[in-house]
Amino acid sequence: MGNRKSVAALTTTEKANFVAAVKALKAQTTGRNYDWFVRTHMTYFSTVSGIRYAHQSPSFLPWHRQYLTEFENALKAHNPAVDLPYWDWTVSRTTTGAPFTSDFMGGNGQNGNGPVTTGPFAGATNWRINVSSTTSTSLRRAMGGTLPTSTQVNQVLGYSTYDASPWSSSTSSGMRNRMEGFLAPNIHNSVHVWIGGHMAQQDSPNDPVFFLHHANIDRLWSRWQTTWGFGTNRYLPGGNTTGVLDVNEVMQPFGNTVTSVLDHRASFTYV
Amino acid sequence: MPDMNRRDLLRYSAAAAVATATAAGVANLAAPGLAASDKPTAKDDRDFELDYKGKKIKGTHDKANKKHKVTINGKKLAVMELELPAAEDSAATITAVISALTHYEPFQLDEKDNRQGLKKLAQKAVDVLGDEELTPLAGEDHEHGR
Repeated sequence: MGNRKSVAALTTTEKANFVAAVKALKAQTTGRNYDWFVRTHMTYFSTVSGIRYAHQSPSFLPWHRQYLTEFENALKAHNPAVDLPYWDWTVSRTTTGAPFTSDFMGGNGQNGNGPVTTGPFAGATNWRINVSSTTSTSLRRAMGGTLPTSTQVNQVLGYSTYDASPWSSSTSSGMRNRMEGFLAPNIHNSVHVWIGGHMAQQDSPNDPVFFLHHANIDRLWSRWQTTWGFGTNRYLPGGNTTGVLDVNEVMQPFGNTVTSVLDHRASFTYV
Repeated sequence: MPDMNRRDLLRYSAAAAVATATAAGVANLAAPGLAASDKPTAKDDRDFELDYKGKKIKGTHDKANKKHKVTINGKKLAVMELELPAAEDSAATITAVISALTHYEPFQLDEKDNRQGLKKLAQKAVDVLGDEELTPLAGEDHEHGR
């Protein structure tokens, strides 16, 4: 069973191992390599066959949970010792602290909006952007703005109802749309915007920080589940909807159901 | 209604709207030489074309079809319209737009206080771009299915 740790708690070796596995996945020429994850996230941002799987829908959380597991397994194929860490931005809130150190994710973009200049992902030679909305072949960041606070996170985790009709960006109650961010206080979306550059774009997984951010979003969902329950009755909708996933329906392109990822505790835990 | 008839009807309506606008002495913003599919179905006085931070940005609104168009230096930026809650626990919604470059940051768009929403989105997209340009991937339409 995997233990997913905070980026602030990683040892030098753990950081080096994670970076090396991410780069090995990028260099992989067969199977689901790093750019497959970038492309898949972009494809599933929109509706696929009339279904909103990954965004603006109830399955935002389970879809990304499975996406992270597939990514983590792809890293483990290169180094079984690697677990996916999470970035708790309610605690690590600066552009120079964890995870933005030169031995891990590197820092801000040049002049606050440009190519990253420090760390293992700086410049196209170290980390080449292949699948993107812009011509930049170097990873870019433009950090600034407002990160969610622990008070806001706790407020969102206090809503016992998982999600509500119309199961979309216009849902005005429940936990999911507040966590995703189309309803105040906006947790997930605001962190993408705070990092800026590639993280603000539809090809956001080009920035490896994407996976650390989403591991934290998944950790928060797990905290919500610890409070309100891991059972299938806690996910909504339970059935009879179109265009979004009911609890017993299959998540594409992974092929497993929402139900199958709800209780993750036998596979991995957050420490 | 079959597609063909619907398209013909739209084309007819657009032509009528342009003719009316021209007769009223309002300039038709659709540039000559554009493909028919690139023309707005009707002129919208929120449309814009300007230089911003060294890049040419152009936006046309298509309220009827919820398909607004933005180009930066002539390259298409896919724009998606979506609905947001007007308030907590309210069934009322407000309209906003996101794009391939401003994907997690909806800009409100209406015909009153937020009539500049599409322009603000285009300007933010230029900010994100910096000294880079859009690729064809930025222009690929994708439907968010409201």
